[in-house]
Amino acid sequence: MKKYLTIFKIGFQDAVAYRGKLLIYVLQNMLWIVILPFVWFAIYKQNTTIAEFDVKMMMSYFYFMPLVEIITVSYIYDAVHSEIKNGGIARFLVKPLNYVLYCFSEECGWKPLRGFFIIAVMLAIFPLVQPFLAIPTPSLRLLLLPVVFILGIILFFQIAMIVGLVSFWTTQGSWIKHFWWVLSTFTMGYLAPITFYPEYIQKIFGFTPFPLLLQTPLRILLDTISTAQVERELVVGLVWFGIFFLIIRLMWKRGSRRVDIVGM
Amino acid sequence: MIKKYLRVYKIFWENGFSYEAQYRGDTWLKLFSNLFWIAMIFITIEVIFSQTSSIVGWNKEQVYLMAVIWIIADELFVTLFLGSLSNIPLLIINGELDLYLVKPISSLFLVSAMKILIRGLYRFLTQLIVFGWLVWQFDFAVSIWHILITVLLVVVAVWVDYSRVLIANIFSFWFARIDNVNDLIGSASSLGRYPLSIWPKTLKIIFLTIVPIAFSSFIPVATLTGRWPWYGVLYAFLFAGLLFWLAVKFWNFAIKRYSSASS
Repeated sequence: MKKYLTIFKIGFQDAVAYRGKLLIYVLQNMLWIVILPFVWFAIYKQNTTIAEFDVKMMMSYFYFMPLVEIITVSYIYDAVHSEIKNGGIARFLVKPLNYVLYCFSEECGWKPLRGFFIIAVMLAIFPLVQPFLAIPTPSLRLLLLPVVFILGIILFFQIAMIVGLVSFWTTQGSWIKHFWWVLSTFTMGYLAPITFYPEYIQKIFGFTPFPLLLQTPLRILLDTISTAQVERELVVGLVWFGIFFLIIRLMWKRGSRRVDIVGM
Repeated sequence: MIKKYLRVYKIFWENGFSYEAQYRGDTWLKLFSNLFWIAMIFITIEVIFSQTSSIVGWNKEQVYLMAVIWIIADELFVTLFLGSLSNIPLLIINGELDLYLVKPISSLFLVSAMKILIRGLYRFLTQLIVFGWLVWQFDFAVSIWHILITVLLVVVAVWVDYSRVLIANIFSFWFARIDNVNDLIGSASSLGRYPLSIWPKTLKIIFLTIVPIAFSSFIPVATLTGRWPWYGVLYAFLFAGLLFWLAVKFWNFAIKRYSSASS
């Protein structure tokens, strides 16, 4: 445990050292709240309520999105991809370290500083946007939030890890990264709450882990989801956790056997 | 001089084709991933228009047209420049830029055009078919003159894309690990699919100047549908020239201050 804590600290120090990269991540996280509300403002000129969301609720949805995203999001595929392609992965074949836990600890090391910047920006713009937001009264459902976040962080990381590990089998990893980016933009509710989609799509999403990564925590914050539905999604999430766990194990086992490094 | 550059550029294209031929599996997977992406863009439009009949005066057909033009401009840019430009931060970190600087050819030309991504060309051709289908399906009444100007504006869009992506990647001379800047640019560019009239005045100005995403789709389609004035078209050409000039100046400035990272 101690060694992973050290890796977490290294990840944090990396975030401090590579401020340019950190700033870009923060900008990327903030992009949605700055831009997409205007698209929806235009649409709400013709509607008062869409799928139980009024305009204020919608603005709150986008306002809180970066906060939820910064907690759950994982970009580990970039590091995994380059380590596989550059041969850096060889280090982990001989070290007494679990590569997946190493990546998880390092990734978590970036989160506090990213979160700090995002919260700072959110607080700075709060007085400006407050009249457009609907802040719900805190409910008991908020107690479920830590559990949802923990599962969301792990699931997001597992998916990003799988995306990265595909590099063992492909010459280039950009297509799978792009594929995941497209899939996540659509399935996680970046463009609009999933409740805006046709019912059959919502039903399909109900059997996937995607809502837990962004949508469910957001809807708990906005108090637009029932406790029963959260519990159901947690069960689905746990099943996916098990599936992803096995997939990662298998990929790592098979993939690391394929490593062929030419070097010193 | 020009002949030399054309000969080198021809070799880059041949390399691009041999690369795709060598990694056919990757090419097919990328093509599939891209078709999936295009499908998602169209589904998003359907989701938006299931809630409204128009967005600030733009109907579904026009928004579809914006999406298709945006994809066409984007794929042209991807084919010609993205592979090379997104590699700049890595060239700097690994000290490989030195090799480009000592060659008897413009280093800017090399870092801009060395890697031609042929797969972007497949997608570009796919989009031309979709564009043809769209025009046939929705029966847009446009003149030849408008079409010609629109084609030129798509070229301007690629030119603007090139300049802004180059400028963003040049910052890696000072901030070493900013390879994720291209992901940010990608996310920001995707907002160019929406009509400019959606945004408040400040953002409109920003999208026409500092973050020029309005060029990739809005200006060509607004011109095609007669919503963009002639002086707006003139502005697009002038701005593209100015931004390109700035990008080249910035590159030369950065190169003068470059200290190699290699041994």
